[in-house]
Amino acid sequence: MRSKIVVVAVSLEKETHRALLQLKNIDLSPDAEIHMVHVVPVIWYGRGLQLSVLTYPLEEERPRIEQAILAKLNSVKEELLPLHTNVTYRCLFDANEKAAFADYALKSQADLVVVASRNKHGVATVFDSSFAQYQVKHSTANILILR
Amino acid sequence: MKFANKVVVAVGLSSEMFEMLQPLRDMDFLAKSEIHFVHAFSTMNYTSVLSDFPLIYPVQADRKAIEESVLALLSKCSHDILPKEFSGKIFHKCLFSDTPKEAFSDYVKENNADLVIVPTRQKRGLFESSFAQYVNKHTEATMIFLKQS
Repeated sequence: MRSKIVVVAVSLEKETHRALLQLKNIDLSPDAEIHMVHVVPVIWYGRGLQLSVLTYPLEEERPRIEQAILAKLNSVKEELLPLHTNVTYRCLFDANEKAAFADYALKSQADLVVVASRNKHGVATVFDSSFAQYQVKHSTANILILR
Repeated sequence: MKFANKVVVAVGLSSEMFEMLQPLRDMDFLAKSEIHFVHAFSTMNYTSVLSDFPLIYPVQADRKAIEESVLALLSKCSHDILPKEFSGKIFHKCLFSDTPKEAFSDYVKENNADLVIVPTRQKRGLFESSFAQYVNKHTEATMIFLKQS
């Protein structure tokens, strides 16, 4: 595929990793700009009557988490796309994972977005993140959903 | 297992839709695939108080002619969008249904496709492409959505 800017959503779950392995079979142009992106969900807690909120992970913990995730993204990239050299690794922290990823893809002017889906259907979709569905609806780029 | 062994492509019959399928040319991984180009023709059901039976348009008598012209168009256009080194098999199919997205998803399941390609227009809100959303939710195959540039 002759996509110039490819943004890959990497969830770091075993289930989706299996699906993501299929990316090896897509002939992405070797000079394509690849973005390996993981979004860490941020949880907000209200603190009783105090007018403040607590977020998890805490600000001071984030650099350590980010470092570990970037290292993991690097190893995933080596497994999936060993020949690609123009690669950016990004760890985002956001309460709304799917919107944060869609925004990143838009700002990066991606022409291909890659998402590995857990393939939940029927009743199971109640528990599905609908991450892939959100990207189908909001992305302006072509989308590859790996299952 | 080979990737994209059996591929189903949803085809709308407008020139805009065929234009959106142009990226298929660069998908070299489809070179040896079995590709089904499928158009789902939307039927309309009318009920009449004078009859116990609903009237379905297009009527059965017209369908053969419609199907032939759809298949001819699919055949003509599909050859222009195949990868250069294509050596696989091509099938063309015209489905008639009052719910094209359901008929298309059923076709994907029946044929055990492992890759589905759907061109989709950038419509939002009320008029967004529910076809793409439906197919994504109801198939277990890997999907490629080609968006209008």
